[in-house]
Amino acid sequence: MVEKSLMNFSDGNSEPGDRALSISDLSRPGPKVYISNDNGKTSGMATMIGELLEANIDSFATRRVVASLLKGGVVLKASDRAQIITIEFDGKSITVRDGQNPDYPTLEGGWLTFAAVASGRKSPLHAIRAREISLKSPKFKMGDSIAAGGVGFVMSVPKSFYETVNWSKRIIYLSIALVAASLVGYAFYSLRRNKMHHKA
Amino acid sequence: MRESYDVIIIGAGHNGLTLGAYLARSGLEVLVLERRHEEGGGLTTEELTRPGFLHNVHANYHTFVDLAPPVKDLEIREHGVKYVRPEVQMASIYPDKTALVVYSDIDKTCDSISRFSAKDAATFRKLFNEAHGYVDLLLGTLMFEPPMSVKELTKALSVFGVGNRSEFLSVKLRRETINQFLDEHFESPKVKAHLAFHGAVCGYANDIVGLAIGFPLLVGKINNWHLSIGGSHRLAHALWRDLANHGGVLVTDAEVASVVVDGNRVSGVRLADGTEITARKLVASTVSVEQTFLEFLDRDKVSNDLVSNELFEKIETEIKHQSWSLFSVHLALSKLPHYLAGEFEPDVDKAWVVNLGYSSPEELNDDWKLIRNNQLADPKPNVAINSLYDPTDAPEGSYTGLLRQFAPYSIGSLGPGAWVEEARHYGEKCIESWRAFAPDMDAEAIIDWTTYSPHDIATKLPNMVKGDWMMGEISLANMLDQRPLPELGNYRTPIEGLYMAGSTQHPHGFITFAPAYNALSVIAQDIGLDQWWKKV
Repeated sequence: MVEKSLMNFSDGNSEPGDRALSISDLSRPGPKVYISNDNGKTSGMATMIGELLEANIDSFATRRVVASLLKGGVVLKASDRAQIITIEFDGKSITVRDGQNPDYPTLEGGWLTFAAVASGRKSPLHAIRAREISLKSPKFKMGDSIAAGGVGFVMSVPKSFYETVNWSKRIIYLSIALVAASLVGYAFYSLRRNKMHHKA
Repeated sequence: MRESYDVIIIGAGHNGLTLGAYLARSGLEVLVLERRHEEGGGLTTEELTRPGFLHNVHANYHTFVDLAPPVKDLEIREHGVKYVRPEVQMASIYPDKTALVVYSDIDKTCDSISRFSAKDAATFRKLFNEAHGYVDLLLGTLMFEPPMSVKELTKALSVFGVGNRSEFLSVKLRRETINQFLDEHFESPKVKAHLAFHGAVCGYANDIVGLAIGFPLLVGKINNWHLSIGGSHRLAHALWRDLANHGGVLVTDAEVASVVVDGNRVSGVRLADGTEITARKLVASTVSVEQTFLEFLDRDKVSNDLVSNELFEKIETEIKHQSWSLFSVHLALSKLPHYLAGEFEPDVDKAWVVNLGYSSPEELNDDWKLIRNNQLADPKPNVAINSLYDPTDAPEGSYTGLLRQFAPYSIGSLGPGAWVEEARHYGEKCIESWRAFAPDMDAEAIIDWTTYSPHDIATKLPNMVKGDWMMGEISLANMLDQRPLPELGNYRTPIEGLYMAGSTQHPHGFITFAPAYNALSVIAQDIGLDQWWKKV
């Protein structure tokens, strides 16, 4: 063994934050996502949205449950990129394909807005309320709005996915909630005791 | 050498030395153990042909200079490494004696491409500008960070809005081959052949599904190839100097026989001569997964709860290696080659690297099929004349040359040992194929030459299993957190304090420094090290 010595040479995670939100008893398998390539080609938008749906269903129990409740379809139209995809769901599977099915409601907005929703930087409801995404329905049905909202939810990543869990903040919030609950409980108990006292 | 250190690193390749230097700079007592007589691993420069002719036996192209954080953090240049970025980086010469040239100047490159297709020149410029613009982002998210999963990558690309801003970058690339990417964007078979060959030289075979996802990054640094003046080994020496300057110790001729485990935790290593050395904090292996788990660990003594039999079996059977290797001919030359294609493009004679013969990606596809079937393809080597840009690597008035040919590890059913008989003959064929493009490379011009086969690679550096110079297949299934196996994909192992920090890990081989740099992040997190280095 030779220890090489300087003397011989005189020259000198990213643990994603809120994955803990996944609730184990909601861990039943969610719908399977299929990205259709009917024409032998798949657009970047279909691939990206399909993979986001797949990843979210895998990672987040709440989105998995909502996805399994959805029935019907929604069209996503990126108005500034001439890209249109249709997402269909039947509880067991979700199919993403290029093109528009005219029977389904259409969520239309800028590509950046969809990217912001998909990445968790913007809530889908906020985007609709701010008219950055519009909902157009062939015939207005309450179910269409629910379906569109549901797809927006399943497609979106919680903001907290990109943040470190702030446990100190959580402990403060939890303490405030516990104190508030205790106060409400105490007030309720006092009211009941007063009533009982008056009855007696 | 003392009896105990904070950190023991197995293997003094560029990853082992890089990790050692960072940890030594962090105030830890570091010991790096090397089986061979010198540090460097793939950073080997030897006088293979004649005295005074310096040949880079393995790593020749340094493409991450100025991009990889260790170059600055470890003051590589201050330790004496000098890089040159050749003005004429690479050329492809086609059988009809036309030639395409890539310069360090992208305008000149586009002019050269436009001689084959004006549309492709415009597309290349757009692709380069986009990819180059995203290089920092891609380096930060894909190279110099512990790996994310492909699904997380999808989200990250969305967060950065890459898909929205780019005509070329998209998550759908994970379903495409480089060939498909090239067909989608380019029209000239010769331009496509050049780009496909460039990918292959970087380890990315053009016919493997999923590798299109890494291709834009390769294009983004297509003009960033650097040559280490005086040989690639200078970098290894500089890394060692940094290690030593900060109190780290390198011991050569020290073959590790076993990694010692005490309960759930690694406690040190035992050398082949029986010497035991204690590791107070950690052991990091930069050699192969097979060596680390199947040779260094005593399977009978490691609890099944710690490393399951299933994991041992997966390591035995499921580690993926490149299905092709490299055959090299190292030459001592009395004159520089003059190519017939010089009439079409005089700058080919100044090109550091010249690719010979492929005029379409399909021809490359055909050769992959042969090579994966353990057959030797008709040679179409790439030729590097380092002396064009490094006059110190050969005696005055003489030059070094390197022919590299894609080749199988085993030949037919004869196995890798058949290279001992075949190497000289195949070397002659490589030289003949070169001579067809540069007739002046006759017997008088070639003072001496020797071969270096896939079998030689595996024999000299056993961590390059089956001549796998990338230390693991380059494929989507063996990328990011799946490399080398999902269970070992984040530099940690099931044994507390035992880390994997070599090119078996994300991202891959080549002189990237990235496996060590990323393992460092994980180690820093685990042992609570103050991070003095600036993140990408």
